[in-house]
Amino acid sequence: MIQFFRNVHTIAIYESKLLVRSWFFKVFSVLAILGLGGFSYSILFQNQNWAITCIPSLYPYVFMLILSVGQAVVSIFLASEYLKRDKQLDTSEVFYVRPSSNAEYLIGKIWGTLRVFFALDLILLACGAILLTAALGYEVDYFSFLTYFLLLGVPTLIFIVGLSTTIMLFIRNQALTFVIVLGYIGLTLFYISDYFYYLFDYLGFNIPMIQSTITGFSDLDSLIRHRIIYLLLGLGLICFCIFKFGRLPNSNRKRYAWPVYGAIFIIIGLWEGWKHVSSFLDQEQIKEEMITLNNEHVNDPKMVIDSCFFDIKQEGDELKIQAEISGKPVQSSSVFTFCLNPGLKIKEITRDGNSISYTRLQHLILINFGEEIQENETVKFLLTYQGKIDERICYLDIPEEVLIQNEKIKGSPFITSGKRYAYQSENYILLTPESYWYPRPGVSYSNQSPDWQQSYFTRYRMKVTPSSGLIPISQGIRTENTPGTFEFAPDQLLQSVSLIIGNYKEFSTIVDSTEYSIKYIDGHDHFSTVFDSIADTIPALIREIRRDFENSIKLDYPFNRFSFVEVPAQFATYSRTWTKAQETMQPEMVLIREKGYNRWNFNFQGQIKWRKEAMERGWERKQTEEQLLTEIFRNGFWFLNDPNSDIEFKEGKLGRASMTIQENPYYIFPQMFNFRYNIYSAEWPIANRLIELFFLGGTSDQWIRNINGLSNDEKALLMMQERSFKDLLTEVEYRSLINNFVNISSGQLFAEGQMKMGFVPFRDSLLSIVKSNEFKNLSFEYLLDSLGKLASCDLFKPMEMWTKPSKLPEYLLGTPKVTSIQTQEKDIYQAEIVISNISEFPGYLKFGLHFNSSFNSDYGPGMKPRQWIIHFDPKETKRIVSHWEEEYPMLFQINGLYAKNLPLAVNLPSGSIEESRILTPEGEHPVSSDFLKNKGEIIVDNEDSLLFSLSAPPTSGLLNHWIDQSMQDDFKYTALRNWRPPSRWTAATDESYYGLSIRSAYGIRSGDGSQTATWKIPLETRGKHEIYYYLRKPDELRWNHGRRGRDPKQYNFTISYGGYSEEVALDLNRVDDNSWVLLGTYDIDSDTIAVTLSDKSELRMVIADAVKAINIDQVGKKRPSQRPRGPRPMEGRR
Amino acid sequence: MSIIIKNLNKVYPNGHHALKNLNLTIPSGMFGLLGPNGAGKSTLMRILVALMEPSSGDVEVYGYNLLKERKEVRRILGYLPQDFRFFAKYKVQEFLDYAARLSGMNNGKIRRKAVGDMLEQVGLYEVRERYASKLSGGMKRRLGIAQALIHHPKVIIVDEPTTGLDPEERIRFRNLLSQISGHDTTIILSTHIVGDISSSCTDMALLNKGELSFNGSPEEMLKRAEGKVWRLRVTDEQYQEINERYPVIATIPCGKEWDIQVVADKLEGYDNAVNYPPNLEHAYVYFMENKLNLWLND
Repeated sequence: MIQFFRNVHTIAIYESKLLVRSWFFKVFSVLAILGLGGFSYSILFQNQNWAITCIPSLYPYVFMLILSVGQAVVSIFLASEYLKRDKQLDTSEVFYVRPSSNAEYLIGKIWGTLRVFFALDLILLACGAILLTAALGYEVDYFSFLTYFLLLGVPTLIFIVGLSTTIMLFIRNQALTFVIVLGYIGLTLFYISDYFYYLFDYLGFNIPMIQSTITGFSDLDSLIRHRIIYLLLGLGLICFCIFKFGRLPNSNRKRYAWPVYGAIFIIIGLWEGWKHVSSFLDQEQIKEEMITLNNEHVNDPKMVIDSCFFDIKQEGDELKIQAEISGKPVQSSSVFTFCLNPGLKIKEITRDGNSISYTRLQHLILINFGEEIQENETVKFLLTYQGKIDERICYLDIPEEVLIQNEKIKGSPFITSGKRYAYQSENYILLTPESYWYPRPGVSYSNQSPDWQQSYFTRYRMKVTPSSGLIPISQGIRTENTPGTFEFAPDQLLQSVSLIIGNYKEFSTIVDSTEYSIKYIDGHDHFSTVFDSIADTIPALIREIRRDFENSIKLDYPFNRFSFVEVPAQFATYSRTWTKAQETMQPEMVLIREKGYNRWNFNFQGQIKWRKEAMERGWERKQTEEQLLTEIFRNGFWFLNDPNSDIEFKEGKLGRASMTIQENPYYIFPQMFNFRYNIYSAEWPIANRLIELFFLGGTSDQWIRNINGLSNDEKALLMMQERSFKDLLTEVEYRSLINNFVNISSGQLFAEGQMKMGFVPFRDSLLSIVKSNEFKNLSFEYLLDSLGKLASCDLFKPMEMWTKPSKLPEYLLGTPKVTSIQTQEKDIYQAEIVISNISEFPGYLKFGLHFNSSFNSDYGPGMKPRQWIIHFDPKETKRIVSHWEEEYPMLFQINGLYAKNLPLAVNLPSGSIEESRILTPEGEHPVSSDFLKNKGEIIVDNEDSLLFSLSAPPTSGLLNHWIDQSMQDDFKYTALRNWRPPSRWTAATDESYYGLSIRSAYGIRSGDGSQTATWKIPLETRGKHEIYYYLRKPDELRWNHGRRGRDPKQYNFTISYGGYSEEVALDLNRVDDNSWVLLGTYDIDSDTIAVTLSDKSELRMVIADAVKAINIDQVGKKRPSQRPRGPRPMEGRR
Repeated sequence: MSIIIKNLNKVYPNGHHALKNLNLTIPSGMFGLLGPNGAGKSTLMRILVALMEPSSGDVEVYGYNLLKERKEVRRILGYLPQDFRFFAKYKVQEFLDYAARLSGMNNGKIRRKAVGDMLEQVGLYEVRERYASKLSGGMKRRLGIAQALIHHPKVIIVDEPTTGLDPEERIRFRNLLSQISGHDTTIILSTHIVGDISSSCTDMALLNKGELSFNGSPEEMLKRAEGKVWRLRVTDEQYQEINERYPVIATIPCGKEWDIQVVADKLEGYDNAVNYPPNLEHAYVYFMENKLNLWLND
């Protein structure tokens, strides 16, 4: 055996010499040094890198990852190189005839290659460590350099070398080996990436490997297993190579041991792979089981917990908890269901000192009190439990594909952090309500009934004895009556409570009797000295920030304490469908990840430096140090006031794209609303969310329709025509639209009340009822009843619509008109519009006017409400008139609330102000639907399936078939994007397109004229006709307005009638946007005129919308609303 | 006897029968293996150095069965292949050290001394720090033999060692081999250059088309060719006729005639032919042609 290692060592030494002396390796080394040096310089020395400041091990991680990918590619070549060399040169034979075995020879060769790379890695990592140390301002975790070398460098290299050697031995062609393995790397890197739970991620490129300085890796066991898979597969392949090696073995018998070893390695590797995948599958399975169990017990009798006192002792990595619970049944029963983390084992449940029986079903506890407990009868019992949290209970409502998606580090295209929902170790504990670390009434997530969501206010108290030296954090005032034991007593009733234990330090200040604090892990203070020079003004700043938030949300902050608590970087949360609150928000506290990881706004020092540099370079106005610090301090917390955080943009097929808005997990709103008010309903557990969304002013995602084609409210409405609101609430598939279902339903619910009371009074009344029930459980039914009385309407009636598919109204909108009228007393601006409900169903419509001075306000000039709700009966047409003084409205804002209209909400410009002497009284005047028609005018829109047609797509055959199939499930309407126009005619909706209830148009990338859109106008009478085209200019012209190009940008039309045809070129630079533009006047004696628009244009995109014919013989010569300037199209002659 | 070959056959996957039932005993000392290209010399060499497995037959090397005890055989083997080039990035000394270590010379001190001595012996000590690729052809060949000898093997197999060497290098190389052969070592010298054998081998075998044509000492081979070499002067027409019937091994122009040497049992019809004392080259030709019975069959 000694000789074995000696020979391996000898061969390795000399193989290494060859490698080190080869140009290939020298070039790679130089490139690695230059590349990694450049990378290090750019991220360490250019500016303070915030991600590395927060997570120091990120630098060695990325460093090793880059190196590992580079050397994986190079090692393919080198691993096959020595086999090629051996094959070519007889020199090898002088070594083959030596007594060393094939195993010694091949292992020596491979080890020789590996050791050179390992040595290079270690040298480069050492250089990296030196650079990181030299780059001041960063913590250096030297051990992590070695950790990432072992986790990333070693398994990857061994696997790749084993794989390339095996392939080379089988196909005996270096070039082919190189192509195959490189292709494999490319495939796994760019295509397979993190699929199958990272199973194919042998490079470690996707599997999260971030190390928190508080708790280390998110899942070290799983990570090690993953890396062992590839280490073993690599070793197994090497064993097969030894067997397959083309030299006569010293012993034929021993030779056969190697494939056996190889098989053992590979089988263990595959077994580990299976265990890796099955750990995820088990997780899914267990989640499914839990959901099934929840579904079975969701309607079990529940108990409202009035008070709960916890006595918590930390013992090693376990918690021992005694919960003294006092509760009242919601409905009388002897058995009540509670939910507790399945990792926490119940020791005993006692009532009045006597044990009571219970049944434990995974996470559920069915406590049998042995006698019927009546409603409102208080029952007290003691529950003792112990153990470690099982995180699999967390986020049962979140789909698997979302759970496995990792958060990317900001600014990095590929580095992701892992996900943890709870922590429990000897040194650190983080338990939020999501982990069910204490018994909560009822079940957890059920996909059959929303009843489980219902929460209630409870008086919590807590006594915590953490491990020596650790500090516990929870809600309420903390006292340490006996050393090492802390008590917490929240001032208010709470719906949930959290527990955090760690090596925490605290930094706090009291402003206006509220205690503001930062609780950070010892050694993580990067902020306390930054604002020293404005320390005196900080209380005033805090007061100001708080006031801003309260004004913005229109609610005040209800707690006596507010703290930022630092938690590990991998702590992950998700937005929920039933609440705005994410787990990052706990009553009185906001959980901020490690030093402010992934939140640039906490990089105060960096901001100060950049801002100063910007001032020095004249990029921003000069400020004093105090002004600058004040601004940075203030901006640093603005993220708490933003409902949304990230926007995710995805390119789709055929020019389609999608945009998703992530809810901001740090939005302060839950502190002011969700943790303070609790609206419960046995029938409608989404009541809380409904009221919450009403206060938030809806879902406000109209603007994303510019990318997605439809807003989420519009998508939700399409669904709600098929399925009832109640059904949709439990549909996991439509989870992302639940907010919109609720939002639309809240619109339906409150429309009548808002109409009767007025917008603002209704909201104020609702708020006052809710406010009077602060920290109390408020019945939804009571709320509706009270509000209904105030508004003199039955608010329960609209709820009848929630149990069946929605019947939606459909509105036609006339042209907004503003006239200036001089009366004897004053000048009045009369704003009017005709709106018609053409459907068979009644509806409410939100009508508003926008004034320059009314931005973000409920009122227009003279403090007059500027928006109101209008009711429409089926087939009813109304002329809506409104009078204003001082200022005229710029826009008419019409929101269908729940209607078939697309877009659902439009902002129509007022147009030019005309003068008039006729004053119509303010209000809603029923008129005939003919009010919307113009005599002698025929309009054909692109929505007209009979009179509008498009040419067949340019592609044909299988490709066409595939495109059609792949788009089958998509919505008809998308958004037209000028920078990526569609290659075939594609429908889109927008308020600036012409349309009746659906304002749509078709767009296509400009081409050679082979693609066309044709409108056939059936003429009522023959004679002279003016033909107009409704022009909504493509974005490239809209954005360039003010600097119109000299070159004509034309649309090319063909006007055909009675066997004649005329070409008309319309120069878009010479006409106005959003208007009917005249194509020409034609004397027509046929009954049809066809207008064809071709895709030939100098513009990137051609848009086909609507055409109009006006019989001027019938209506008289009419001045076109817009006449093209420049050469006029030829007039038709007959 | 150091090497005993019994009924050795080698048939390549393409059906070529490279060795046909070969039986041969190789004593210690310098043994020459002579034969034209394609005679099966290299195949035999590769089988003897355990780089190739025979199709059938047995080989015993110093008492070890080559097929079953490869490791033991490899331990006592030194090999210099025919087309010997180097890993360009090894220095002379490193290359030799590598070979020594792989041959089991684990003691660093002893190994370093052995490498130094061997370099002295082959006259490469002065260039020990030079990269192997920078050596001349003769030096490379000497380095080749040095690596084959570094661990003092009992059997040294050298395949076509003098091909491509200039006469001086060739003589030096032969002398080197001769020196070694004095140390109870078996050196198998495979060559198609008859001069290599005549100047150094005590025993030899002649292979042709995978079969053994002759096995014995060079002297014995010479003896077998005595009276079979003829010298005569011929005209152009006679030369054409003789050349078609017999192997002509020397042709010297002599005015309008030719002074030629011919290998044949008898040279009928040419009374002016006189017997000429054969050398090993003549003997080699005699055996090769005789074996084929070229002129006898005419």
